Amino acid sequence: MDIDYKAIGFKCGLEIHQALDTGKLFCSCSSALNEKIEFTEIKRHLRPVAGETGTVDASALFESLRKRNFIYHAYKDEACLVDMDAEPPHDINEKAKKTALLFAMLLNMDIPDVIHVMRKTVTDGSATSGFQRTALVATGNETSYIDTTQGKVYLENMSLEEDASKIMGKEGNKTHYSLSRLGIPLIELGTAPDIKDADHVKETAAMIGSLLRSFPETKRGIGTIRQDINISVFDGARTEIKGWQDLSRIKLITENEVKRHLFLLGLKTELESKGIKKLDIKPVDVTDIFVHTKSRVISDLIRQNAIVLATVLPGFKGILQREVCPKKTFGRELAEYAKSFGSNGMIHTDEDLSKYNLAHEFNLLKKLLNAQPDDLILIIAETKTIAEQSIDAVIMRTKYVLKGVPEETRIPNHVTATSSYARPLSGAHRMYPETDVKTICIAPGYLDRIRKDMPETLESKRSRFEKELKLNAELASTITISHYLSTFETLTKKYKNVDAKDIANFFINTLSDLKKRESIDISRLSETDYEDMFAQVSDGRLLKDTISQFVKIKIKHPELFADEIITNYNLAPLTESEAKNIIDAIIAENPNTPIGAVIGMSMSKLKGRFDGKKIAILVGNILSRK
Amino acid sequence: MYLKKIKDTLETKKISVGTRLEVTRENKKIEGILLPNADDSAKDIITLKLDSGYNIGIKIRENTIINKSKNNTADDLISEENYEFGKKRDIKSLVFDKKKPKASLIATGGTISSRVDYKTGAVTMLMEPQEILTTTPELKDIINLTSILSPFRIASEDMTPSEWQNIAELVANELNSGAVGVIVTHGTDTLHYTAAALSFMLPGLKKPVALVGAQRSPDRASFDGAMNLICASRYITGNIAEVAIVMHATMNDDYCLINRGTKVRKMHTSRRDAFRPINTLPIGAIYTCGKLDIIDDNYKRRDNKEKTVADTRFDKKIAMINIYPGINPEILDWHIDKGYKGIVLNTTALGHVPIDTIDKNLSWEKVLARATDKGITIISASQTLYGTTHAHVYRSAVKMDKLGVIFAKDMLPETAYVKLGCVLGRTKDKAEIRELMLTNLAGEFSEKLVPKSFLY
Repeated sequence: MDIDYKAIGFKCGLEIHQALDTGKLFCSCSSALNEKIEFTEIKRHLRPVAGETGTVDASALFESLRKRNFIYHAYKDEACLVDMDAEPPHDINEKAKKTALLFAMLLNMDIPDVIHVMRKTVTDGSATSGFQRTALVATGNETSYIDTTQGKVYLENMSLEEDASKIMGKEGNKTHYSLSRLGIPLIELGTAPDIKDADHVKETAAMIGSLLRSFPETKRGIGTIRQDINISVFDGARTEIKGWQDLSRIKLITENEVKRHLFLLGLKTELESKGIKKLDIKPVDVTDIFVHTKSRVISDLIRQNAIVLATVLPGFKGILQREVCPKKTFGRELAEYAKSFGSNGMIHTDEDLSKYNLAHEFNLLKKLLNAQPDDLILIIAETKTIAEQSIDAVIMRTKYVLKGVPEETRIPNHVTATSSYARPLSGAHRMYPETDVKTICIAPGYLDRIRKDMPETLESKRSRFEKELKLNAELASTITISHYLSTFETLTKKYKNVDAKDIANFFINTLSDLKKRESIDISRLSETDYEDMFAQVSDGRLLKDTISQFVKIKIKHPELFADEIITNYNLAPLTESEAKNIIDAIIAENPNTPIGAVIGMSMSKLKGRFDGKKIAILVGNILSRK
Repeated sequence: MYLKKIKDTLETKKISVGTRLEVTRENKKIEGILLPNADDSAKDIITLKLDSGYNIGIKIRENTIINKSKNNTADDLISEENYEFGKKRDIKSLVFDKKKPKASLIATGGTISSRVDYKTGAVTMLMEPQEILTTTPELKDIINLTSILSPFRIASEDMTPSEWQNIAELVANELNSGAVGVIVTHGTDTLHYTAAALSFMLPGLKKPVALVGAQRSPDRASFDGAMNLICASRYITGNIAEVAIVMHATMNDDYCLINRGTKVRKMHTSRRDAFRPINTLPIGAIYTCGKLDIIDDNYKRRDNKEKTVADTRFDKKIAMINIYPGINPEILDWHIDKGYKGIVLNTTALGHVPIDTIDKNLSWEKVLARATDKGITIISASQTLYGTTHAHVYRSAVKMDKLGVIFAKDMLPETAYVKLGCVLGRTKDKAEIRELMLTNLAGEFSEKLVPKSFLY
């Protein structure tokens, strides 16, 4: 199905989250995310908190309804009492603050005179305190935009905030989190809903990502840049897919979400056209029917005190089998609401009931509940509270079908590029001031003072590499986005007599060849090793043809310096007289050999240590003299 | 306070805190609700809450125009209730169950009974007693809180012996009016002083009294006071008739320790498990479900027939002096001259003050003699906290002992300070003072020190 984005009133904005490698935002812990040595774990609960008017925020309350235990794992150097909500926050990380402000300036955004750090209520356990600290550091104006092939995408706001803990796993009502990511600074940049289609989502995300990575303080690697995708169609409800990490497939997840919206709107129209104006759905306790069931699944649960609740969804037969988008049925979508209350899922008549051995019981249910042929029956078997809350959630969601698309925060599945219900979209009143941190006044002249540290953008670097360093277009863009960029720049500045092309080629081609073809662990080489090596290249002691050989030796013998390797392993280029001696010896060993063959043999013997073009001339000279 | 010019503008345009504004500067318009200024010193800054929920400060310059917003619906950002899951919680619907044991709560202030104004971030005290239920609704499943008293609301660093006396009287009253026990909520800074004070001022106590604080405020989802309150309500329905601090045992939200009021101290500025037993084991560990593990069964048992009598006599002319290298004895001279009746010296290790200093002017020998001659009670309590004092191991202690200094054994300096005030309030007789100070009145001495009691 091709989507006509214009026709469906597609509205989309992005929020890009980029992690910074400056150390954590409000403590002195490392932002390295190594998670190597665990030193402690702590167990906590979170409680519903009253919001601004004494009501409990929708999402906050919802999370608390699930009686969950949170277990936080702390790793050496990467967690302290601040991360454990056992010490007040320290002053804001100056380096992170400066990076965020420079980025705002790069995008022509307005920086407030006073920045306030706020607490944003988060009760899914990802923050030990129950809130995330965040500060609005810039707002957009008519000059803050990025220029894309499909027009301007305006930038609306930028915040500097703490990253949340990363979920490590769930078992029953326990959720495990690692504290290493909690508190790492994130720059969050929100665009206006100016994005035109799914391709445009990708282009916009890529451009912003590239600008962000112009800053050496940004973290690299999987998960260090994440996109929240906000989507609505036909001026309908907005959904937010939170934390997409795969730029190459951002188009697919966008398309799938649009398809889901369209499916839900279609379903609404379909029910309306059937004349259904209100869905009267109620749960019924039908445990009695299942007491002697032959179904292993259900009888096991009943033995563990589960009850069985059933409900009839009128006119829904077949609907749960339909795909809301590729790789996802509406049945699975509904089940997610049940699961979010701790249930393992539900069983319904759109499924093959024989696989559960439940055909008989469902026949009884049909009579008991007076279900019509085009009705759907579903059951949930869990302990009382979970069963009740889960089936209520499913019923509530089903009733919402008549309203269309619910406003939700959704979590993505990176494998199928679909998304699942996470929680209702949270409101603005989840924020209140973080009184433990002083407000940040932007002193007069401060912004001018830091402006001199504005990094060159990657785009400007790329074109400079082409112009000044004479790299071809492909090599220039590859080295610009490679993580060797800063090493490349250091080396080209330091060793001006070495061809920049050779340096770029070394990082882009030589190293990856060694890694791919010979499985050499190039990560063991440090920037100092490269400097040491290129110093020899610069001095003419190492030719580019012997570099691979050099690297292999260096990996085996990390204790040797470059000049030692060259001396010990005879890698230094030969002088003309040394080359002549070797050629003389070849001629002497192979008398009456044609000149071509002599050149061939000399080439292989002298390879890498003497200029190839000169070999033929030398051989010619020697032979003609004889 | 704003600059006069800004103040005038706001007044003329009838703009006050809570008004929705439109601030225009260089063609850029910002809308938001006016908040009180976070920083009093910045007189040319106004603070706005934007619709996104963020606050920002805006400097008012020559070309800045402030106006009331046309969309002046003061609280429009609050009213949203965009999904059925977000049901309002009604404070009135939270009522106690009359069948549960009758209990009382005395709220004195501190983090545990504070609330945040979500707009301004200002922390204020809970105003309605029922509000305790909004933070900890679980209490209604355990106790019937019939009486919630709030004699004052102050931070615990602002407590004085007068407040201890006030609380002690109230506790006795509540216990004599049929409460099974009393919970006292209190700031944590000086919670252990108040715990010691209640221990001494309620001498014949036969019902449980729990002191509870919080290290994280109730506006956070990580509010630690809730578990403390739940465990405390379990404690007061139980059989242990002691004044105890009931707070987190570990960094985890798993159970609380019941720590005797005279042998407990705040040992960390910010951790939940800051209150530790010193020179003793906790009486027990108590869980939110009511499970109780007794660790030291040397405690008084409940007897509901006994009346509680508060003896709040207290001599406030007492002081506590921390001893350190180089401390000048004139500090004590000053106290003598000012008419102090008793001094607790937070002495080093086994109970020493400088005696045989090279610079004789820094020796405390003479000043101690002068103090005891004047009839001032001098207590030596160890600043080392763990272990006991001893009057005979080292020379300086022997001299102090001869001069009449009373060695407080393993009693905490803070407990010694509170006890000294109580004892001096009860008697002026020197021999009796000494005897009372060395008698175990409220579990302030351990008969023996077991290895596990160190750094528990």
